[in-house]
Amino acid sequence: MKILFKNENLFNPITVAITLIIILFFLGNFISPGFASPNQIISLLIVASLLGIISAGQNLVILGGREGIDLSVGGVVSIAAVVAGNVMDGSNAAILPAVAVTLFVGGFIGLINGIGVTFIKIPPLVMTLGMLGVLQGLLVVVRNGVPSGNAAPFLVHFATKPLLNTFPGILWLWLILTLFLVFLLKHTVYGLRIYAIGTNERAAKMTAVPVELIRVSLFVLSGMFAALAGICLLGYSGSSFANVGEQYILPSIIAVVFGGTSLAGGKGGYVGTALGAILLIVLQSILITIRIDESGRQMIFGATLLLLMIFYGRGKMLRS
Amino acid sequence: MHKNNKNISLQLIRNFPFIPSLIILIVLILLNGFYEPNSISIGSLVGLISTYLALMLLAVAQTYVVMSADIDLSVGGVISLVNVSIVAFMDHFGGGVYVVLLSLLLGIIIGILCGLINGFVVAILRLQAIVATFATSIFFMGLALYIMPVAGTPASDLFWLTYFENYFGIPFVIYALSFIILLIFFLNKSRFVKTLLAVGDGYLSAFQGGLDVTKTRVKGFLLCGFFSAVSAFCLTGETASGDPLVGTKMTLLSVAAVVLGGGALSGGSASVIGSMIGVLIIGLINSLVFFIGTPSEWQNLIQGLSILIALMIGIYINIKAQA
Amino acid sequence: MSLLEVKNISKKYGATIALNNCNISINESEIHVLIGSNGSGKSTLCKIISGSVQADEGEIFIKNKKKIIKNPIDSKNLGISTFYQELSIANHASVEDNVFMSNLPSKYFFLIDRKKLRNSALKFYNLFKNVAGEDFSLSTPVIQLREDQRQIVEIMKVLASNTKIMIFDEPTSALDKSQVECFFKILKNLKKQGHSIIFISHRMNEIFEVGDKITILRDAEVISTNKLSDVDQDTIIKRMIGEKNLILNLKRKSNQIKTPALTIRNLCGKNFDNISLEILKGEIIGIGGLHGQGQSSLLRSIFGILPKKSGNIFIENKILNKTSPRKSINYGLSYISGDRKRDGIFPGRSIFENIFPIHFYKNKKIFTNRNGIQPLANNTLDLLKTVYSSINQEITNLSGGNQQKIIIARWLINSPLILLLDDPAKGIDLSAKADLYSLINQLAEKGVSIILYSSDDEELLTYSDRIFVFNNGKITKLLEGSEKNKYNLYEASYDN
Repeated sequence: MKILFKNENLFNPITVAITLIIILFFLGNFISPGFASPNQIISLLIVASLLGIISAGQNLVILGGREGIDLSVGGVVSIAAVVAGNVMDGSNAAILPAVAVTLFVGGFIGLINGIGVTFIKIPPLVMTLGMLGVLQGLLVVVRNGVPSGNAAPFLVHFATKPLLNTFPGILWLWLILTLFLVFLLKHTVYGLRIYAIGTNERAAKMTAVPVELIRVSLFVLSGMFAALAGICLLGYSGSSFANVGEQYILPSIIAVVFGGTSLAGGKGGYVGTALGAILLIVLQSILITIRIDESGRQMIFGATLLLLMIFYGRGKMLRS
Repeated sequence: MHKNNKNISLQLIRNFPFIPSLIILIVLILLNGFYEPNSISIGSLVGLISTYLALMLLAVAQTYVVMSADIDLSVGGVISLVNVSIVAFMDHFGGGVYVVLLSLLLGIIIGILCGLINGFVVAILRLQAIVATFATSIFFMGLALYIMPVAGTPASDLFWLTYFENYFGIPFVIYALSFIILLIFFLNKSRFVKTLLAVGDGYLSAFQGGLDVTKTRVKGFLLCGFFSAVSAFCLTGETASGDPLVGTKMTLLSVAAVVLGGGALSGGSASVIGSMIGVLIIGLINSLVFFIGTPSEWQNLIQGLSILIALMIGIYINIKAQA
Repeated sequence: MSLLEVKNISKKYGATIALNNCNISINESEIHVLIGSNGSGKSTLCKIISGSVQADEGEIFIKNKKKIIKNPIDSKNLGISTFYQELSIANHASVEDNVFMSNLPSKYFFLIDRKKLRNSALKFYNLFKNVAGEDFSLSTPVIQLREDQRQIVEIMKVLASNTKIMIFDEPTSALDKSQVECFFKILKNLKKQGHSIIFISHRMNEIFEVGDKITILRDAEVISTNKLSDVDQDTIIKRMIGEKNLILNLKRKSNQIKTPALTIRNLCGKNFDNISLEILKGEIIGIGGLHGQGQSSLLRSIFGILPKKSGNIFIENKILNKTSPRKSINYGLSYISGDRKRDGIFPGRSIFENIFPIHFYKNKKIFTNRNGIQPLANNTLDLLKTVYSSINQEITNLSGGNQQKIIIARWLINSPLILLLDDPAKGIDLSAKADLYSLINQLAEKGVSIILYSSDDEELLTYSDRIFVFNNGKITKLLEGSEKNKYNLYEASYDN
């Protein structure tokens, strides 16, 4: 058993996630034939892409270490959906400005998080939790009285219908983002510095890494990714409704953990996280196909999450 | 070598990390009184307490895990589970005195069992507290949904009537609060809480000093489960019904209250009194926002901003004091 | 009769041997001193007896019965309590709570009996009342105490456990004279009452004052156990050194150009005071003495990791005003720490990522250009004879010595002018050490100036041109030429 666990290739989080996803698809197809049909898979991937994009930001913040975590992503997603919907308001022509404004808003929220965490030294959990409260309040203000905006037709098409007879645009977007993040984390100095501050902040400081600047930038990126997910969500559901983002907060963290990124920081990457997001969504939808109550589904879901976590690494013993 | 800080105010804060929050609380009470003189009456104070008693107890529950540098994101789930369990129990067996008392016992047992599960996965299996307790919370909420799929089953009349009754001219909640404060007072003087704090101060040095770190952390979760159950009782008294989703919104507020009360999530320094003050701060901010005549759609935002600013000020002062 | 007996204990940390087949026996009513240079295994031995570290092999006997100690609680139950060098106190708790933390007196089942606690604690407080200094009371949280006062709390904690066996691992390192005297009076009393005490200290006079027996450790092995009345300071030092006491001199082409590369004037900082020295181009300066006398802090302050309080640093003729690692790197300084876990490696990351941060910074790179710069890394690593299979290998999969070589390579890739070496060979094996020092020699020949602090005195004596001996944050002696031998070094270090 011990030898098995030591074999890194066999128990590499990415291999585990892929294996589990495949097993789940077989299982799902067995329970309800058609579960693993191409159309079904694509619609699952669309749902997963929303979570995956949010988890990208979450992933970066967690990689940066010092208990990095971003609970405000839920609020940003909701706000972004409202802002984007109101700016474009059903018009294709306004998509680009809407995207620009929304990303700016998301980035700005992240900037405040980053400044609070880095310079006032508020623990990330607390800072982003407080920010979540602010955003929930802001949502009420933004939505009140104003007719909530609608998605532009192109955006709806982008998020749900195949693009040029291939996959839906949102999946292409996700793929490009994944490639971009892999490149960023692996082939740029910035990416390596994220791992550096995540694994050993002291050593990073000694090797001239601008630790503060990078940490702030991670929160900014997290805000922007969440905003992007909010725009996609607007396209997916056609219009924005209250607090759509909140349900994504903790799943975005779990997806990161299932992707093999340690909450302690500095270890892991985005491919795993993307697979983690898929795993989570497939698991959820398999539970929906099983004909049991919502309650049973939740219990099985919770227990499965715990079980999987045992696979993904436990803390160290105190005795050496 | 001699760098003992002579600054008395900083020293006070170091000894009692909840002092900044106490000051914020007093300022808030005064502001409330300024904008709405009636708010400083006994009646409105009792009203404030009875509205926030459940959250106060939940913050107390959260404090006991934060003391040992853990966190419990399942407290909301536990509240929901206990709430629906006791309501369903009373509904099934009729609302007699003995049934009500038995239901309380049942609630406590459920709370402690939930704490045991959390303690097991976090301290014994050594999973990350944030994600592990989130997973258990999904499980608990599923269980709550199983017991009561839709909200609305009323609690026994006896139960909520007692909760709102006055005895000798004093509302029941005051008795409840006094009893709980007494309990917390004794707990604060107990060996267990001291050990909990010492463990939270550093697992390794506590281990070397001969403390049983794992056992202590599990016990912290048990205590958290117990107080979550008591919190659920108050919530049930307040709402007089069962709702499987009732606790969802309360988890993160309980964490915020602990931090507002000067508790450090890194462990070793958190006070139950502080956390209760933290809840009152949240409550008073909410009422102040109302009293100063904020348009209703702006209220949530102003509340959120004020809480964030209060959090920042508190942490900033504590960091300065520790330095 | 022997109360505690340790037989054939061995412990390895990865490739490093911390203890090798150690035997030791402690009698009743005895103060047993352990001595040995840094890293000789004293602390590991203590931690094994007190249960916080598990031995790989060996047995522990108490009163001739074999006992298994799995954790500190077992150890306490067997009548052993320990003063930990790194202290085992809870920062936010008060002095009295800390003293009795694992055994708080109780009433009504679970409440702390404050009165009893205060009374019991008062007994130990009174022992130190007159020497502990101001702001030391039973209700003070220990976070507010000075270092010496915190050590006193840890001492009180051991005394309060009142166990038959007490272990003190460097309990006096921060104490002043009166505090030490007070502590020794207590120790002698305990001995009279039949307690057995293991005592570790680096101060020779202390050892002779209280010790009955002395066990000398060297390189993870027990060398000898004697009655203290049978040995003198000379013998002890010689045994700690090993048999040789040669005048070690550097066989290096003297290529010293007589221009100063780095000048330090009256530098004061954390743990060191009023330090002035000058390093010529191509010179290797050693800073020696016992561990933690300010050597490391000095190097860190020069590099800009710690702030300096006053004084000046000149690089060639330019004054370095506000120091920071970035600025130092721009000026051609490099700082290599032997504490690679804390200051060096990015654990779990590849060799590539660990080797290039300085290169990226100095060349203002945006993309990593993995293939392009790989030869640069390979060359430097080969120079150090690093063993690795691929540059994408995780650094943590290498042996300690090879990890350290990668950290060193990190700083050498962009040819530095001044090297600050903070115990660079700590915990690495002999052949890695040899590779490291031969490279350092080559660099010096090329005109690089080096300040070397090493906890291994032999290294220091072999490789440095001059040695400044540190004691309590000050330079107490300069050893040059024929003075540069182990005996002089030890005498200067252990003299307090």
